[in-house]
Amino acid sequence: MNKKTIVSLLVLALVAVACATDTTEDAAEVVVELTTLETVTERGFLKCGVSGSAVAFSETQADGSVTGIDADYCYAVAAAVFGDYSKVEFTALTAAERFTALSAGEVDLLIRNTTWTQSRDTDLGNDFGPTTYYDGQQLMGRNADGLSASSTLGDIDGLRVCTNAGTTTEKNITEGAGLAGATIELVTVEAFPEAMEKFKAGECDLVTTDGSGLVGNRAKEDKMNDWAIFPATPISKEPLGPVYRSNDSQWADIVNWTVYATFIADEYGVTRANIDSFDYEANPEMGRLTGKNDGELQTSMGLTADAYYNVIKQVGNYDEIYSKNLNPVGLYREGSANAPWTDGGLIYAPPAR
Amino acid sequence: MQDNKTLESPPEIQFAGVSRWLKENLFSSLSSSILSLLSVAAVVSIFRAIIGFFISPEREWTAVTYNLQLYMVQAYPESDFIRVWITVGLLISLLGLSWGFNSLKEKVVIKEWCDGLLKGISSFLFIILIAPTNVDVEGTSVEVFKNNTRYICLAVGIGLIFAVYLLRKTSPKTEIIRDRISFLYLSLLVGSIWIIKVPTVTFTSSNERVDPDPFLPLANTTTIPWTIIFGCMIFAYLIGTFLKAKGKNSMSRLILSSWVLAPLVIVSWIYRKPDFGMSNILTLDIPIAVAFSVLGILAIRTLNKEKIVPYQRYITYGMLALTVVIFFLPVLRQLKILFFITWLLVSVAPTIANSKESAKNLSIVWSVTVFILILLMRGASSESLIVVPGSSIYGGFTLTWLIAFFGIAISFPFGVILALGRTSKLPVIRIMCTAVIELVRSVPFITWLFFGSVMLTLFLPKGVEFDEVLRAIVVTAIFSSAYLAENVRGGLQSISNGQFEAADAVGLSTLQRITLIIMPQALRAVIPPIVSQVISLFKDTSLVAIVGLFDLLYIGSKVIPNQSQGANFLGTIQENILFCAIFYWIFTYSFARRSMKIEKRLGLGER
Repeated sequence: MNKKTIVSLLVLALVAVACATDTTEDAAEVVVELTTLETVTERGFLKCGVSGSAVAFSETQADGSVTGIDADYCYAVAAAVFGDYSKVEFTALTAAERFTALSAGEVDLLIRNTTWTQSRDTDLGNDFGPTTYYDGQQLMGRNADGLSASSTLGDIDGLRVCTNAGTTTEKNITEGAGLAGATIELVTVEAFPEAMEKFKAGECDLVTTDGSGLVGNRAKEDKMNDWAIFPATPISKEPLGPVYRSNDSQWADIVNWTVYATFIADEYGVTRANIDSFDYEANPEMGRLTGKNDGELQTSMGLTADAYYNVIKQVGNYDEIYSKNLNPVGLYREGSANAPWTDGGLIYAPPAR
Repeated sequence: MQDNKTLESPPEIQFAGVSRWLKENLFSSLSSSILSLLSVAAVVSIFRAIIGFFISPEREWTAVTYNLQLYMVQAYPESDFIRVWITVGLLISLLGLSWGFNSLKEKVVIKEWCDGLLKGISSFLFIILIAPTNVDVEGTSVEVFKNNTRYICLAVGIGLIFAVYLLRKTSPKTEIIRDRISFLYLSLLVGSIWIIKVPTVTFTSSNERVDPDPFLPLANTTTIPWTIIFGCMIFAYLIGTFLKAKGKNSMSRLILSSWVLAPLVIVSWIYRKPDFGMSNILTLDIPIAVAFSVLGILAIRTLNKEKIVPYQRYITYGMLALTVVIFFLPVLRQLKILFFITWLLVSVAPTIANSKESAKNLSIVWSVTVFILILLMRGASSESLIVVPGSSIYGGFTLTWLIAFFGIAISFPFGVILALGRTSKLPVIRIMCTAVIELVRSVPFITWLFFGSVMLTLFLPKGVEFDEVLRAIVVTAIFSSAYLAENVRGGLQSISNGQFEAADAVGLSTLQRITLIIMPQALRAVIPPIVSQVISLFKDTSLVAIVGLFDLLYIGSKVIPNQSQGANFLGTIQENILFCAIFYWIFTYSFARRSMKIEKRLGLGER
């Protein structure tokens, strides 16, 4: 190789770095603080932070598409903002980086099975939207060990418990067992599927995580009669919902009312199928919400009058979203905290007027 | 003086029958007999357990086969798969070209080849022989390997052994070119994708999963492209051998530059599907390219005129100042980069283009570089037409490959420069390079990835955003170059002072001394650690999962075990991890074998 080649290769290598960079022209822009809605509309799509590998919440399918209840709420917000649910770019975030990514503006909205807690709400510069799924930590053990759905934490004395490290589940079970006077041996692994493997292999007697994860795994392994999930009242409260940056109440309203719109539609039985034939005269609240009678409330939010019509039409009401994503893993609304408030659950929305 | 023959080859040990070999090696005494029997029992039972694990009906291998597309390209849209195939085809053809060009036409005696084959077939027979018929599934014994199948496999295996043995007996001394054997294996592999059937998940019309999963042949959309790519590879190999035979040694430079260019073209034009706009190219890019190549050629011509020579330094400084000014002006990024490389040209042209011939060559190189650069930048800076649900079009094995390839390619020159800087006599350079190496090495890789992914945006001015994948590549390259620098420095220290002095004595310049005398020897000495570094970098790419990028291992360990919709692979972690392990092994093992060949060729460890 002679000098010429070296020099030209060097130049190519130097430029390669610059070459692969993103498109934004460095033209001196006057930096103006844009609101989140302005940023999103200008960009043309919503950047939504999800997990990408959470059963029923945000799963990546074989063709790369993202499904799940979290993903559906991302689609719903995009439908409200753009009238087109597909204008979403999902960013897969790990539990460790999710809040930093939100504050750094890498995502506009974080719906990543994130539990609403006081410290996360106050310390981190975030605000939480209405809860879309009420979860709670439970344990799963074998009936053969004398455990049943009515067992309590007092019954797990001397057993080995597997869980994934780094989350609150570890802390909850230690605290709970301590209070119940049970001594447990805690085996922590990196991720929950590994904990399940250890449980199946008999390396632990119990496995613990959020109830939704346990039910799904039990259904998959076809062990409905062999494995018991207890205690009936979960040992922790895990309200999961959307998170956005503080101090942008317009964006907060948009997200909140997208969630509420799905609740209200569920309450009145408005579905994707019947939304066009629904009798809005008889139900003025739905009429206002979908912009059929008067869309003033939506336009004052910075959205189009039919924003929430699009949400219901394109994504569905809460029951549709829930059934589509959580019924396959064996989770049903009846009798749980996720039932509508009229049936004794916690799914309740303020009136749209 | 001794007889030369005995020095070169020891007398060939005659094969003296199975019983004698057994007696000498396994049953020489009572204790060794016991040990032999025990270890055979251990090996057999371990292998039985492993095979049983693989073929147990509990294993859901469909989780791997059904998700292969996710593993390879993640969410890349199926309608644009032709771009993926072009990428693969381009790289494999290039591989074939280099292979053909660099092939030593090594020959191998049929006898040796047959011995290797016999070993392979015997291992296969061993596995078939000891594979368990029944495995234990939750207390009940299930038949997984029918005895009929076993007998058929054994018969085929014994037949093959017989055939190979005959071949070995009839023409033991005939020689064949090793490359042909490799092509034979590859064509068997490619041929097999037309016949094999893999377990697949299928759905009924009411979207219910068909159980049990049927075995289906591979789709035409997989077999046809692979066959075409294999054809292209053979063709490229033949071209390579042809060029070599013609003795076109200048081609080696061209092949090397295609290895630099091809990945850049792939990431800027092929894989991204840029929305470039022909009018942009015609009205903007081509005029700029023409202008700059003319400018460069003029510079090359004038700079060496006697009248100009005293002012060369001022021209270089002026150009540098202009580049800096342009950098901060709101102009096209293309212009900034072009001004930068023009400055480089102005600074190096006087030394390189000192004769008429070399000035002409440099002019050609300059024009070609400018045009290629402009086109690459147009591709990279245009909006991508590929729409994926995730934040990056790179995912799965594509991402692993991308980060590994560019990580290695960028870290190599930087590592060498850092190593040279650290051994430099100039204190400023030495201290700076040492600081960079020590800072980068003393912080864990994951921390750097986090820094690149999450914290970098906080330091950059608002509105400046880098692609997540690009950040991961840059971080990987910087991290790996620090380690590489230390490896290279080890090589530099192994070179005796005499070499430096000799280079000085014949009047070589510093650059010549380093590129012609020092580096070739230093790099040759550190091939093993550099290859380890490459292998570990390839595996370290799996750590980018930490910043939310879906690499091969993350898809296997987290994404697929969490799929509950449709096919439902909830909790299928073992199969996926095993698949990933085998996948990584294939690549790292080939790196290792390749490097051993290079070492052998360079005679490393013999001198």
